[in-house]
Amino acid sequence: MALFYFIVKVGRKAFPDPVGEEFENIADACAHAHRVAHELMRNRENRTRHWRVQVCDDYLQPCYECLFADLDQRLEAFGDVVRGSVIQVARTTAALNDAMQDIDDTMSDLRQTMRLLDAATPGFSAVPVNRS
Amino acid sequence: MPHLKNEILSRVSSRDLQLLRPHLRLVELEHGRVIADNRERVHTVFFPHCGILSCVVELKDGSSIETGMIGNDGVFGAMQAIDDRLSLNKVMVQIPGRASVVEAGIIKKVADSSPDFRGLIVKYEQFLLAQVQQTTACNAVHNIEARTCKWLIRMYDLAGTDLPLTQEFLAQMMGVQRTSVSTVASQLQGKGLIEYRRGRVQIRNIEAVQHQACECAHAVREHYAEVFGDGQKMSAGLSDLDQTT
Repeated sequence: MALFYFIVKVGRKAFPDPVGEEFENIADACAHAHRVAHELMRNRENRTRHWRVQVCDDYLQPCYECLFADLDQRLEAFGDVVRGSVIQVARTTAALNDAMQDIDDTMSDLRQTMRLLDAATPGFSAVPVNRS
Repeated sequence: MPHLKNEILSRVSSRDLQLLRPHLRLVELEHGRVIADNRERVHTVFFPHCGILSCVVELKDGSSIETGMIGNDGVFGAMQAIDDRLSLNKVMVQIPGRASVVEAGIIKKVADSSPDFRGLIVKYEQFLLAQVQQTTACNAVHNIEARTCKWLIRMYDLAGTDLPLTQEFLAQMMGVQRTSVSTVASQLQGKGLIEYRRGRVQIRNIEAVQHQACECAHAVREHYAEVFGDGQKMSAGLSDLDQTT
């Protein structure tokens, strides 16, 4: 048995799984992730299509991720073109959220670096940048 | 009199209470204790004072789901005692507490001699059926967040704001995966509605929880008021809410 963690990503927020669950293999863990996705999106599919469940191994390394839209059986009624478009929008929304989160993280790192630099060299961040 | 902490016993006429009183005794309800199993004859009738009993349906694949809660507003086993029937599902202690208990045979004797007492038991059974029907509809059409909030409101009505609950148990009661409950609990905590610590859930903002819940929690309260015909608040929790608003 191996321990897997299931992180649910909603917009720019991630809800970590502090406990984790044991499964025989990654296939069983993925099946569990699908069950969780179905439960979380049931009766509110429109609002949750861009949500994702990420499966991480014992070392918290991501090994699988599923987008709720990919599992939404309601979309099957609309044909491949519409279904594909909706999934693409959901995927793009999720990617955009990841990108914005990355920017937030980078800005946070930058602020921290500037604070450290200010502490080491008082007034450094106030020095005008020479653009010539 | 401690037995009157149960709302059903508090509604029993003084004559019927005189008949019951010598046979009533107090017991502790320990978390997880199974007080009746599926298709098992009911020998003891429980009138909870505090704590919560859960009616749970178990399925062949090992999963289970809660269909009703019984707290100090109700009684378990009285209807089965009257008709010598079996328990239709598993009933277990969800939140520990205390209850007045009496042998099923005594309940049958009092009910046979008193139409009022029998009527009271039938009324509660009617409410319990309404609660189960509402839960069925809720499980079918409402989303997990609304259902969790509805569930918290019912718990609040019966047990107040501080609930000794693990996510595993909550998931089992709602018939979903622990990961799903964990995500919803984190979202509610992030919005300041609840505070979750290991093994305990504290409701921080009941008005907001009610806002997030489906209509089922309100419907269950209305069923109770209609069945008992006096609009009485069904809980210590609800009284708390009235005092704060």
